[in-house]
Amino acid sequence: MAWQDTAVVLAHFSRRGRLAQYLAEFVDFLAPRVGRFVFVSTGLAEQGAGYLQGKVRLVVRENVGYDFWSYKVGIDALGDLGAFRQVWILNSSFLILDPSTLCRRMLDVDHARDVIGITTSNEHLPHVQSYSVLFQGPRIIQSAAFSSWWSRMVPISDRIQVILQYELGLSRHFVSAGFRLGSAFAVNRQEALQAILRSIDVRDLRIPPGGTGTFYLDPTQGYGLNPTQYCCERLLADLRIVKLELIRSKLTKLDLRDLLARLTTNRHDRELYEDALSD
Amino acid sequence: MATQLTAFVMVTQRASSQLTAAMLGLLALLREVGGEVVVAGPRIHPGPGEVPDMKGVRWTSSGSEEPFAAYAAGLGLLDRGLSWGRIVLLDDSFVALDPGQLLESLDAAPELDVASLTMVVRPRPRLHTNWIAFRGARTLQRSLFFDWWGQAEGVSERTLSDRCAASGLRAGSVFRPDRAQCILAVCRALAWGVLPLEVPAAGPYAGNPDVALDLDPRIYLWDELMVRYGIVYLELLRYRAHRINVEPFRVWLAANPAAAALVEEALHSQS
Repeated sequence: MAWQDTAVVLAHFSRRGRLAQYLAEFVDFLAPRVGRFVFVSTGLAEQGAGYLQGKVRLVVRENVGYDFWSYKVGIDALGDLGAFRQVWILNSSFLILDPSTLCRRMLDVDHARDVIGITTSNEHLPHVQSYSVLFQGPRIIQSAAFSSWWSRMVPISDRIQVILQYELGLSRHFVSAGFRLGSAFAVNRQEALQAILRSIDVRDLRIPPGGTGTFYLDPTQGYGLNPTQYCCERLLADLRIVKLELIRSKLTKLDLRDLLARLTTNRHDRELYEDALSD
Repeated sequence: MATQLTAFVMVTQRASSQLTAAMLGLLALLREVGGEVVVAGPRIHPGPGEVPDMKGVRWTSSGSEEPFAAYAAGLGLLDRGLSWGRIVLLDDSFVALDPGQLLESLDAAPELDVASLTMVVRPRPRLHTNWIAFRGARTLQRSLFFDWWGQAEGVSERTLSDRCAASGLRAGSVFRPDRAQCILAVCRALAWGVLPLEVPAAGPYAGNPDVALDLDPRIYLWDELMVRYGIVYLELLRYRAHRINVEPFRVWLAANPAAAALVEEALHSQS
C-alpha cells in the first residue's frame, strides 16, 4: 500500500497539547506511504512534537481560525501540488482505530467524484463533512477554484461562522465551480429511515400533528441527518472510525451503549479509545 | 382533589423495612390525603424501631414474595366497615419525582370504577397494578372486592382486567396515549429494533399508530408519564430488555441531581 501521489494535511487540536495514541498510529501508518504529510497543530507539546520529528512536516501555529485555518496553513505548506493526484485534509476530531482500513477506503478508490468526504450530510444543504475531505484528481487540484478557495480564506474564530462559511461553503464553492461531491460511506435507505426514527425518539424531529390512521415517514428525509451520529455503529464497523464529540460530550441523546461495547471489545481499540478520552 | 375517604396500600419488595427517600416522600403525601395508609411487603418487621416512625401508617408483612399477596395483606388491615371512596394500591417499582402530580391522577377518568395509571391494551387488556385505584361505592362496598383478595388463587395483574369485566366494573387507565404519543411509541420500538423495520423499496414508510396498543407506555412513553404524572419506572433503567434509548433520561438526571439521588437510591435498594 502506497499513495505517493497523495498529499495529506492533518489539523490537530488538543487542549492539553497531547498527541493521542491513535494519531501517532495514524501518522506511523500513513506518513511513509504518501508523497507529503503536513501536520498542523495549534499547540502540540514537546513530547508529541518530538515523536513526529522526521516523520511529517510539523507546523505549530497560533490557536485561531479552527481546523479550516489549519487546513489552509497546511495546504500552503505543501507547496507545489503539481505532483499530486489527491490532497486529503482531515482533522483530529475522530478516532481512527484502523488506519489501514480508512486509508484504503479513502485513497485506493476512484470515487468518480472530485470532493470526497468520509461522510456527507444534507443538513442545511448537501455538503461533505469537513472532518475529512479528499480532493481527488488533477482536474480539481490544479483548478482555479481550488487555489482561489484557499487563497481567499481568512481565519474566523466563531465556530458557527466557520461551519456556515467554510464547511458548508466549501461544498457550495466547488459545486458551483462544476465539481462533484461524494463520500466513502453511503447511508442506505434502511439507515436513513432508522435515523428518522431515532431522531423522533430524541425529539430532534417532530411528529406531524393531526391526521388519522396510517402515519407516513419519508426515508429520504433521513439523508439530511448527521451520519456520524445516526450511523455511528456502521461507521465504526466499516471504516473503523468514530467521532470523538459523540462519546466525549453529551452532543447526542442517543443510546451509545452498543457503540461503546464494540469500542471496548478488543484491547487495542479500548486503549486507543481511553487514551483519546483522556485528552 | 375531591374529598373522599381514601385508603392507600403501598407494597415494597425491599429487603428491609426501611423505605427509600422517594417512597417516604410519597408516603408523607399519602398520609395527608388518605384516611388510612398501610405499607406491606414480604420482609416488613412491623415492630417499633424496625419501621420508620410515621404517624398514621400501619405496617404488615405478607410473608410471601408474591406482590399480590402483599396487596392482600395490606387490604386485610383496612376497616371493611368504613365507607371507602377509593382504595389505591401502589408498589415500589417506580420513583415518584413529583408525588403531587401523581396524586392528581386519582381524580382523572371519573367514569372508571377501576383506574390504573397505565395499561397495555393488546392482545388482552392488562391494567398495570403499580398504581391502581378502586373507586366508588359500587366497586368498594361489594364484599367481592375484599373477597377477591382473600381467595386462595388470589388476583394477579394478568387476571385483574378479566375479573373486573366479569364483575361488571368499568376498568381502564387514566393515561390514554393520543395519536402523537402512539406514533412516538411505535417509532421508538422501530428505532431500537423492538419491532421489525421493513423499509419499502420506494415511497414513504407507512406505520400503524395502533401498534402502540401492544406496547407498554411505562417504557415506550416514559417521558410522557414523567412530564404528566411525575413518575419514572425503575425497570426502564435497570434492564435492557426493552432496548429503548434512555439516554435523554440520563441527561435529564445529570441536570437534576436531587431527582438523580432519589432514582439512584431506589435502583440500589432493589438490586
